[in-house]
Amino acid sequence: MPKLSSPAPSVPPCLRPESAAVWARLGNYVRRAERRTLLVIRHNSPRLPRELPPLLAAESGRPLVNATVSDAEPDPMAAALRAVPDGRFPARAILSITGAEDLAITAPDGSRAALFEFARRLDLRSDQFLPDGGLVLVWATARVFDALAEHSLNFISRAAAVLTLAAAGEKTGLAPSGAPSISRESMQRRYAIPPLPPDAPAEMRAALGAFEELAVADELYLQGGPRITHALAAYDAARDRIEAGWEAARQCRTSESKAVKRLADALLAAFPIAGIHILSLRQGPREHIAWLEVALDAAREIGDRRWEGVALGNLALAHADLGDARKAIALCEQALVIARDIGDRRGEANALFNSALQLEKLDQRADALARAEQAAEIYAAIESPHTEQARQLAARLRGGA
Amino acid sequence: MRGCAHPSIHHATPTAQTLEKALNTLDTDALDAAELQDFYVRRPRLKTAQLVNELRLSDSPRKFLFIGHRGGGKSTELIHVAGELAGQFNVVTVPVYSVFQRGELTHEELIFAIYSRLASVAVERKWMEGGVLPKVRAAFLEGAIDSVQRWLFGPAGSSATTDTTLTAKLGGWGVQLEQKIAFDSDVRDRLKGKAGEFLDLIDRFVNEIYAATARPVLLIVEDLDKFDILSTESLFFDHAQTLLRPKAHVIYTFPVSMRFSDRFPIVEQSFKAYYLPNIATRHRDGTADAAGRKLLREILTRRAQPSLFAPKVLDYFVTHGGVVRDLIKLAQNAVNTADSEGRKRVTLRDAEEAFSDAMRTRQSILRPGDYPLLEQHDGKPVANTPDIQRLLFNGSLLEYQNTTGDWCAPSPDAQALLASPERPALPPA
Repeated sequence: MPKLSSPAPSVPPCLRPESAAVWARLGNYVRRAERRTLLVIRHNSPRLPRELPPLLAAESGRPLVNATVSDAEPDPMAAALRAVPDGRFPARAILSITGAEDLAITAPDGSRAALFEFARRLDLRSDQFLPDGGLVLVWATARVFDALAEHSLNFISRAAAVLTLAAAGEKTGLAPSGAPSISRESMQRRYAIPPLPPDAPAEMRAALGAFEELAVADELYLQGGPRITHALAAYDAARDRIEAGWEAARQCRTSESKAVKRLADALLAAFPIAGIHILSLRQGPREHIAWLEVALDAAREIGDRRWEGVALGNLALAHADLGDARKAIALCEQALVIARDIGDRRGEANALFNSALQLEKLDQRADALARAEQAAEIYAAIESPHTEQARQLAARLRGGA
Repeated sequence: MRGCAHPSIHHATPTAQTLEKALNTLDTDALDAAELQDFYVRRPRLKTAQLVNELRLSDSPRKFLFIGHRGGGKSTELIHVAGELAGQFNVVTVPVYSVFQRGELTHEELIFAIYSRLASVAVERKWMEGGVLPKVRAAFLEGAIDSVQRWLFGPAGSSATTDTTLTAKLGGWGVQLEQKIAFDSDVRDRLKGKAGEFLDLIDRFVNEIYAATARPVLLIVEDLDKFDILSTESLFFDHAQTLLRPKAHVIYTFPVSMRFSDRFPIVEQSFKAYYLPNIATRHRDGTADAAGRKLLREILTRRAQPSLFAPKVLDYFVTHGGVVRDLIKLAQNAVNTADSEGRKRVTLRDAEEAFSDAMRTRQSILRPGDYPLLEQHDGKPVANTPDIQRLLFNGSLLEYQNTTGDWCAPSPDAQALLASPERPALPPA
């Protein structure tokens, strides 16, 4: 088996210098592994799976087999077997598997069927076809890796290591890609924010910018996985601006311009909702409640019943977090009335469900059960993912009644 | 294996004295029969001796569930059980996940996989060639295989041979059939409705093998925790009678998460359950579990000698490892880092770096709402909810039995994420 005089090989020019240590670790696996070994390599450029495997093969003396999988051929072993004579891998082969570009794209419906199939087949077939002592390298962009981790646990858990390599000269780093880009127009539609009036002061523009930063961070957070970290980092970096923007919007409520005042109220009504996930984590409970109370007041000011109900519902949750079940129930009651008035079925079910949880805490099990059952019925009717949760609560309340 | 020209040939490897060697002895695959002698560590709370005894004493075919976490050592324990029983039973391991090429598994496919492995192992090990009336038995075997070929591929599918020995005629048949099935979804469709026929064939094989060898058949059905959880639930909850029918002893692996289902008590009435508990490093009250730590340490030091690790590194692995496979993987990655940087032994920094990698992978698996759930259930009995079952299934939550009453805790990498300042919050309902 070839041995290196130096344990750390030089870094190929296609890699960033900071990838040197990981490159050395990958090289060490390739040289030393005598057992069948699966390695996943997270990377940020299609250049790397093209340029690096030949270097590893040359250095280790292992034969190299390349396989590219695509939506049309998601079976990496079938693709690889076509590349080897007599359908058998050479002893100690490196099987380098990469995805065609289309594999890195998540369909609009969120479907990753080809990816899922790819990982599963790779996992299944590597034992069958790869000779002992062989090495499988699976190259995955950050987005592909996230999908694999989410959908193919067997595959990920069987990998000896997940190694991250960054290409030199690439604009994109290895921070998980796919950060949402919400256009101002779509964001304004989603949160019912009126257009910026021509006479808006600089503070109002800053408030709108801060609102956008918060909404984008929260959107990223909702994508889950490693993006959570990046969402929180984005919020932390923008926190001062966001807080200043919120404060600026509050000041603008006293503006003499009706358009500016209306925009300020609309922003304040939506502010804590647009960032609800991150704010509930980063803000202290009192600060969170303060923002929600301002949102409630602003929603009432502009007469937006929907935002009023949403603010009440989230205020109820915030008080429930502080352990004030009675206050939470009272707020849920108000939210429930509004939801029924405006025909908001989801809001109605949320208010019923959340109040059932609080009534259970107060040991008012009969009332709690009635509300949980109503919530389950509505969730089921609107095919909400919370249906099962409400049914389980009802079952628990029935069992303990 | 150092210096070996043909590393594809496996031999039991003694404890590694160098990092290069340790990289290979710290392998996450289940131990094979040869490695058991060097690396197997007996777990004190494990009841496999009872399982072995029950099988030895039983007159009628028994059905068992072998329950444990993925990566918890089930396969190694079952190889150990197979070894213990090898002299008295004809043991056939059925790696179902290797037979079928998709994540869902129907009861017909499971029964087919059992039949296919049983028939091909019986041919390869010449089990059908002893006893009286071997020609009759051979005729049955050929007839059975031919009928399966016709069911699945039509009359043209069977291959003729002029060689007259059974092994020459039928050797490798099972593997070929499985490969055909893997690539041909139409053929798999033709398995539908055939469970009864395959069960009859299995029973006939079991009887013939017993007549020829005077030893009963033990089937070890592996990998049932690797399929989509819904399809595995359907196997046990909707088709339990099919799984109970083979007239052989059967040990089915069983996903730990399914134990916490409303329907598990019904399954438990028909199958005898054996549990492979995780090795705990602490008790429910947070105090250290010295016996568990000693055991985990021994799993590592059987494979790599302690002098390869700086002080406190082995302790770090033990407390940060989780299930056995993750423990070994953690140590292997740290060994690789140290070796790649030219060190002779693993430092605490190498270990921490390997653990950071494990945390990153865990972070990709967890959803935002999982964090508070994990926190809420730390130290509590396992709750019977879909979310908790999912967390058990993906290894983020581990169940322990080292204290009065079973309890659960986040895996060490999930625990570290909970303590991280970057942990996310639960979105509102």
